Amino acid sequence: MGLEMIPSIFVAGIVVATVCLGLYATRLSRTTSDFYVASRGVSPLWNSSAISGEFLSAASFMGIAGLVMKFGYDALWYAVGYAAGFVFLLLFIAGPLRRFGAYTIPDFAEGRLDSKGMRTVAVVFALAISFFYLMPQMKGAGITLAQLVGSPYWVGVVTVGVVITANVILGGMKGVTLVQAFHYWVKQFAITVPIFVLFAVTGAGYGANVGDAGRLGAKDTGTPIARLAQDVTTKYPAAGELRFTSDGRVEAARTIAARLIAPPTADAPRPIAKAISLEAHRTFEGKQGETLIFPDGAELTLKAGMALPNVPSGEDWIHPFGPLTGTYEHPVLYTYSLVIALICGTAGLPHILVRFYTNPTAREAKKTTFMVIGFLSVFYIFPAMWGAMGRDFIPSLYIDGATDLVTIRLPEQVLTALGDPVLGRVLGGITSAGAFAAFMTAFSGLLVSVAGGFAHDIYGRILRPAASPESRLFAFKVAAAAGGAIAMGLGVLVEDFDIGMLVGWALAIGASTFFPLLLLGAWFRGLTKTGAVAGMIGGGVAAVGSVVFSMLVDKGIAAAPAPLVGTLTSQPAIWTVPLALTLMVGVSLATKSMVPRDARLKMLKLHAPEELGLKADYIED
Amino acid sequence: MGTKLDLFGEAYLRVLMRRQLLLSCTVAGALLLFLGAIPLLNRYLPHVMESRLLGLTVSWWVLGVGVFPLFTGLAWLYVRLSNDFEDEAIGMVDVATLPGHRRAARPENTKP
Repeated sequence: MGLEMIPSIFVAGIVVATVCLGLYATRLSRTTSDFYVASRGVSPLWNSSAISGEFLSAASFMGIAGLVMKFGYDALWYAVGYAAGFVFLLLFIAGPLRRFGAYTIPDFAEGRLDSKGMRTVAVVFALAISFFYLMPQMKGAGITLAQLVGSPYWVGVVTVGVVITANVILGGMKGVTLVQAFHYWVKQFAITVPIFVLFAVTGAGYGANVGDAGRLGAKDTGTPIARLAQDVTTKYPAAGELRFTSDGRVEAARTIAARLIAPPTADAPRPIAKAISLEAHRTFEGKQGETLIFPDGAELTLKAGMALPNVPSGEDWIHPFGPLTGTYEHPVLYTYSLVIALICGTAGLPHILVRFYTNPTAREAKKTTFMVIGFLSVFYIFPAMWGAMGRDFIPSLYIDGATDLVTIRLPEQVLTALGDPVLGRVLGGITSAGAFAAFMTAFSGLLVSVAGGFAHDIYGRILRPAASPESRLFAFKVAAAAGGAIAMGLGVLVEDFDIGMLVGWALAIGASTFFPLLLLGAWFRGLTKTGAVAGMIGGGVAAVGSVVFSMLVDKGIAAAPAPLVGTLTSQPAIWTVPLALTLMVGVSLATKSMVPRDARLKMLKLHAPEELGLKADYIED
Repeated sequence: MGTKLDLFGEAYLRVLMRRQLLLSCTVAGALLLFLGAIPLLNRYLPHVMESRLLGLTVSWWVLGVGVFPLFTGLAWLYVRLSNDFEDEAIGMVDVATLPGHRRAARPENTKP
């Protein structure tokens, strides 16, 4: 047995532990309510662990470290925005939502506004968000397992898919609660302990790493960016770019149409792209500061002697308004819009919101959310440490933009160089197990949400309102099986697609649809169904339209807009969230006659303490 | 304590929502002011925000470390104040208007 087997043992361990916990949990789950909302009996410690576990997906466990490595300071906002999103959830949504006592978020939409149509609109958005969020988890599992053990891509997807689908079918919400809580602690351990070991063995802590990372490629007193000792050939499945950090030579395997962006000069402060053709097997000479943008499926050989491409300069990396927020000349505006998207998006994710129904009371929902904020606050200090250290120790990840892999690859890289490959593999095994915990828990939460959408909202309420609890329980299982199969199919299909932006889409849609709906649903008595639908559709369409437009610009299909428009379309929350809120309030005021007759009683139920005896859940089974 | 309110009356709902919303908005406002000030400080006071403290810039300390205890502290404060108000709100209701009130008075509904 070789050393390279060590990480896969850890991954196998977390998968087996998940299966065992899942099997154990099936003995606990019997009733319909167990499957949909764990019988509303989850204590704050379990529930906050489970919510934290469910929320810390691949985007948090691997993604933030990768973004910090790639973009530096600006990427810290991701961790801050996610955590702040839960503060907003606590302040405005957690208590009232729990008091409402339903099974799914579309239940809230329908019940609060007395409208069947609301349920349909809400379930469409909820399913769209869940599927967008789910595909990157599947892809992450496939790629990570392929990295670790060289398995074909589909193996990782199917492993995570089968384990979690079985878990959800057998244990429902009650079953996944146990698994999610366990996975939270695995992830917390995996992101903290290995980085401290790495700090100890290298003798350089967080501050030293950030300091070094800030000097890498800096103009005057900086350390130079490493040069390639030999030719490096990389296949890029998705379109990407190569920013030359020194003059260098590149060769393409086949002729491709690319674009070249020259660095800004005093005469031409704004970069201009020109179309070029990269001839097959003919070397292309790139100048320092130029950026080569290439299409999907390019295979490029970077010639020995050129400095690693795509490494941002030390100044750009360590200081605010670097490459992430600075692309469109309005970095402050971009930053604000990003933060709004993250906060409102987090507070508008249906698979997270549904977990609040599992608390016994609103007080416990608030306590749970407070504990989630505490857990996430500890967790989110760490990804940036990985990103900074990764920039110093494995800058080769910049070549193909695979900085997401920094948490997986860093321990092995550092400790092998220091002559302790076994410890390196063990720590790498721990972080890999953490990554798998992230794929599995996020997927489990999403699958419960998808199954709830199909079985409860579409089957149990829209198609067959008279269905018995037993048949709705059966429908949940069927929907979970079907949802799991669809997710695995999609996961296998998207291997060669660039789907990194899908989580961003999910957040953008959540921020501009569910967040305004829940905020106003809980606090604005005059909300009407017409107003809510207008706001959700207006906000959702504006958000998706903007993001699609800016993607077309990135791919060179649409012409680049003015910088202000570019900023506001690539990061639209700063205007789409207010747009959705304004539409909801405005249209509601114009359709006052449609305010539900018992709106006051509904509001009273959302806000009166349970002790007063109004505690009747909207859905009781 | 002043006069007790009807649980189902307009006055009670109004006080309930207004007090909780005021609390939530105050906490949210404090949080947004703090977060919103960071980009502006980065832009207009770069020499302060870029100065180093144990290797990290001040700005990095604030965003990468400092905000998190603040979030936890604000959340703790909110939960405390919000629950305190709920306790107070329970006491504001006229007991005779509670849904279980009349039922509880009837002998056939009291459990042996």
